[in-house]
Amino acid sequence: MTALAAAPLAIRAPLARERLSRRRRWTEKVAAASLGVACLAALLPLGSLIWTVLSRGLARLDTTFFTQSLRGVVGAGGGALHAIVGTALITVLTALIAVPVGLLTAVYLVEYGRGWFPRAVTFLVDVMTGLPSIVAGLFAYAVFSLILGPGARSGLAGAVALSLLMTPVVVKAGEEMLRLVPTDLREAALGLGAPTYRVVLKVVLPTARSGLISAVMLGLARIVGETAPLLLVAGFTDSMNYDPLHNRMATLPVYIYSQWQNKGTDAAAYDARAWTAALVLIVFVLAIHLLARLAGRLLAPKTR
Amino acid sequence: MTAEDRRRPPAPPADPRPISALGRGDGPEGEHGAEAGQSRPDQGLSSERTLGLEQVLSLEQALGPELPSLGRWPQTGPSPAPGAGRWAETTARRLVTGAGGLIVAVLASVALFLLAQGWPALGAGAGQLPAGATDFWSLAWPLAFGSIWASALALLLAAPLATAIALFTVHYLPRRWRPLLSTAIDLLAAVPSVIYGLWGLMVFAPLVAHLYPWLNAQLGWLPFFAGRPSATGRTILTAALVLAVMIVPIIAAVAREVMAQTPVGSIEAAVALGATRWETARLAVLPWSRSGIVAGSMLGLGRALGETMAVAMVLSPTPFWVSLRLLESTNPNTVSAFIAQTFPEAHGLQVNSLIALGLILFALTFVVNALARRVARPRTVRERPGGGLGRRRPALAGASLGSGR
Repeated sequence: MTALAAAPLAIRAPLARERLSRRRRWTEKVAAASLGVACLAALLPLGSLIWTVLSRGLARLDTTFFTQSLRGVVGAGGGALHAIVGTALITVLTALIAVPVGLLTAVYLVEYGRGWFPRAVTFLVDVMTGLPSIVAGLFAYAVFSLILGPGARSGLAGAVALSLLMTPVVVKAGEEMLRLVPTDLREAALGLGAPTYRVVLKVVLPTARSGLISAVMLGLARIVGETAPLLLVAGFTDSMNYDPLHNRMATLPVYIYSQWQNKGTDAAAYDARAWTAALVLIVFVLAIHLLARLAGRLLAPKTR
Repeated sequence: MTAEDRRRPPAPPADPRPISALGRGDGPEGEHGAEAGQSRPDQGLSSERTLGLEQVLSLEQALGPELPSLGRWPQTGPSPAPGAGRWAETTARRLVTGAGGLIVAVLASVALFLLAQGWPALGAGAGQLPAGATDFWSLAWPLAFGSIWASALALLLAAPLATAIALFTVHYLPRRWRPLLSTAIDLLAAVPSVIYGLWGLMVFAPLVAHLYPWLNAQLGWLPFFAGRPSATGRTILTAALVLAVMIVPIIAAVAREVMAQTPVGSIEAAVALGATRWETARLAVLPWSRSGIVAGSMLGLGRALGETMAVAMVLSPTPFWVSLRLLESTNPNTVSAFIAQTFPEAHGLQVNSLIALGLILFALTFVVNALARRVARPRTVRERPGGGLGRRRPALAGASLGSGR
């Protein structure tokens, strides 16, 4: 669309240059320049951030960091294995809750929903998308303190909070992907006498497979760096915890925060660990984004 | 499998083509049915289209061996009981409706739980509240002010920047370079907020701290820049700047999508009238995308209001402080940052008061997001690729962007 629009401009520009008044020529130049500067202004922080994380994070990117926890560590040394394991566990648990609910809701909205109820669901999904993450954390805390008594912290509570944030992303993205499935595919399948559920299972979902995987990946990328709710309900610990049902569980984002927050005497060691954890976390997030793109490309139905 | 195996009742007279074509050829063996139908995604309305024979055959193959209403001839194996398909259909319908209902129930219970747990805090007195507050509202309103003030500042900085970036991407940049810039801007949204916090605290704040005395000297006559500039740079302006960097990609993504949908006719009309590139943008692109930009900004505002970790780490707050000054070392705190800082050590009624604060934050973001939705009303009914007429709110596309708040 816009390519069509840009073409006449490119053709016309040299012809008309002489006829433009000086004021209009200047406006044109100033506008283009300031738009370019705006882009640079947004990219500079990104560059600075990536540079900082790389330059300060590489120092502690060693095997100790990936093989040890912080148990009994004062000052330098120690690692983030417990936080990496915690992030992995909580992310998997979150996905186990959010992916089925999210995808089923997307299927409902696209394939089944008629009348007022799906509109209400769509509205509430939008509300959920804008739910502040810390509110999700407070909700999980309120629920779990009711069940397990006040002050209970666990990895599962963290997963419940995060699934509140992941579900709407999966629903929205999944809905988009399901709507891309051509309607005449559905009509043809229905015309062959297949019931709706089979049309969904055998035609719609396989067609949208790559898109749905991307949707799930986007949801994962959304929650893997989540800090505030985990700080409230999963807490932080220096030791390994493989049990998501009991006790505090460390995660990478909270690890970063707590290394900065509770510095010991050797502050530089804590900072170095925080930056390395930041580097690992960014790599995680980017890897998930990359996988989402790859899934979109590799598993896409061959159309031509 | 040959065509002879696949005899079926005659097709409805409206569209006999697939059936009349039956005698002429075979369907492709083993091809996945779902993949066959997508070959022409950009043709006209779906009702005017016809699937090819191969596509229908492979579809049937994909759908499985026993379609209940199709008499297969010769009949092989037992025909499925008539009740079985209906049972599966009902179960499937209930399952997906239940998932939708679960979302409604969960959101309702979020509001209920927060209300029930936050309510006791409203009656709490001195000594029971965090930060030594004497009653709940004297605690809540400076924080609410801080949240709104910081987010409004961030929006003021981010909205023009994001609009400019979107315009540059869609209207100025050669097509080849567009994905590159879009990806780079989207990357800004992929960085978790705790990392923004760390960066803002250790790199950005010391950097802008050098700038603040100068700002103070030049613009000190404005009440916003008056006072003694902070030496650490951990002021509300720094927090707002970091917030702005975080919401730029969200607003830019929405604006980009809306701008890309500017009708070609409008652009060509402007060009035909002799408009320069900037004039075309001003006459055609910006008016078209105004509501989308506003909706995206509201979305960004909602994001900024709920943003926690970056503010909690960058800002150096003073309890109960309310001030419009941007550069001083005494700053108002925000609701979310206060919750995050206070919660780990809170107990008793303090927890309830933090939950009540969370409810206020929820209500604030709810209003802002509802407004964004209202502005982003579906303006046009446009055809989805191959998928009939689809309604679509482009302005909310950026909602799912981002990572880790």
